[in-house]
Amino acid sequence: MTSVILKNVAKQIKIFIENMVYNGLDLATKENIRQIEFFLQNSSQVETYRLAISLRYLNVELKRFLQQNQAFSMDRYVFFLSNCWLLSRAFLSQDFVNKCEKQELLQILLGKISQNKILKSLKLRIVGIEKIFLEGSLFGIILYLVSLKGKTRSSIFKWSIMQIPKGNIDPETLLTLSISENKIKVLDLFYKDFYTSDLSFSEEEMLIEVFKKIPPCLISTQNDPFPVKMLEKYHYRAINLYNQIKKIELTPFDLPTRFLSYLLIKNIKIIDFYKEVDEGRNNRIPVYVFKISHDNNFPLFIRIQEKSFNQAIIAKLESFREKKVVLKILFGKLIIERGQLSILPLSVYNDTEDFICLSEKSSKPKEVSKVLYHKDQS
Amino acid sequence: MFDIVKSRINEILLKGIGNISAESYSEIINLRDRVYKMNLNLMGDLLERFIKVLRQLSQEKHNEEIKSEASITALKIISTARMFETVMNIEIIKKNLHPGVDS
Repeated sequence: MTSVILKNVAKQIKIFIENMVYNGLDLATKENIRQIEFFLQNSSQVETYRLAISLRYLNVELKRFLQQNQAFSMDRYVFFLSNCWLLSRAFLSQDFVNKCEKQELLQILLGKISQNKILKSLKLRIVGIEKIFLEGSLFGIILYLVSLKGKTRSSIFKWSIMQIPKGNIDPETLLTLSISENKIKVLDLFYKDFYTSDLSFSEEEMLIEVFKKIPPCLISTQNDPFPVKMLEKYHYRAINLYNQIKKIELTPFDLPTRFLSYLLIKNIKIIDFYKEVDEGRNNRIPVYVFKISHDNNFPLFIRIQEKSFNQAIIAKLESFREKKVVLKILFGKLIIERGQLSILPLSVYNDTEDFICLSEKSSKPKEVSKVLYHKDQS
Repeated sequence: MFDIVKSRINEILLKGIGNISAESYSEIINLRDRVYKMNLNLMGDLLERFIKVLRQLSQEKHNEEIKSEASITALKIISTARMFETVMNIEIIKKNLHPGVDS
């Protein structure tokens, strides 16, 4: 029965997408938004979460287009349009849903969500921070934490602190808000090892959720040394990366930008930079590209989009280049993009650690809370 | 090259297949020729198919089957361009990494 409903939903979506392609975006109306919302409801009901997510983002882009919002991206619109079409086609293909040998593939295409587990206890240390800003939908920070003990030793966990954007707030201001009932802030956890217990944990994404009632517990009031040893396993040489890349399984759903792994590099110098402006593509945000040298000597870049909340990191990288600073350690996310390996810096270490995306601006928690949580603020 | 293919398709998706201008049509023909010259035959065949359907469409504007075929071919071009781009991305990086690999 479910497979019949799934096929009906897929058929409607496939026809809708093909009509959108034929008629063009210029003829899109609010009615199309309503149709996508209807499909979104139906696909969630038949638990095709992957399709539902693509429909949701397609809806966001279409709304942006109709509102003439500058954040509209044609590339993103085409990406999600194509994803919805490919998924619908897959669900419609003959016998696909019923064939037992394809159950695993079916689960992947449906995007089944695994249940979170509870982790009893972890000894952690913040080793990186990333700012997130998805215009009109989400903003916040992702904390990257290395496990210092036990079976998970050296594994990187993520802790995401997200909000619906309100006002003109830099994501880093969320660091000043209390995360638990005893008023502990993320900022209080900087430079220190700490314990957390009874955490909700998604194994697939290595994502933890700290419960407000059980706050993290600091081990000492003094700063602990940066845990370079725990991150050594991410100090890959070219051959390690080559072997990792060889194993990548390509699918038609791949993003043009792909996270490969975490990476630690040493003795880093920023040797050059340029601004990449893609004139042929509408609304593509310019990117600062920094060419770097490092001890393992494979070609590596730092790519940072020219967005207001990236000003701090761009300024710091510029300053390192001008002053010819040699950074001892850089820890970040290794990304594959446009035929280049690039690293998104999460922290640098030169005697002291610096979460490089953060500015030195101070913000007042009360004012931030006021903008975020009070009604009638716009 | 894939940026150019994507860029052309983006234009078509904006205006709609039913409203392709003569200029866009000749750009697609040029693109097909360039793609074939680079031996990207799968993409070349799809563009060739798309050109044929557009020609049919200009004669039978209200034929629903041809309209659907045109949309499907455009969507196949998009997915193929995406796959090609990913493969090229990976291959360029592998090539760049290889000289640094210890023997």
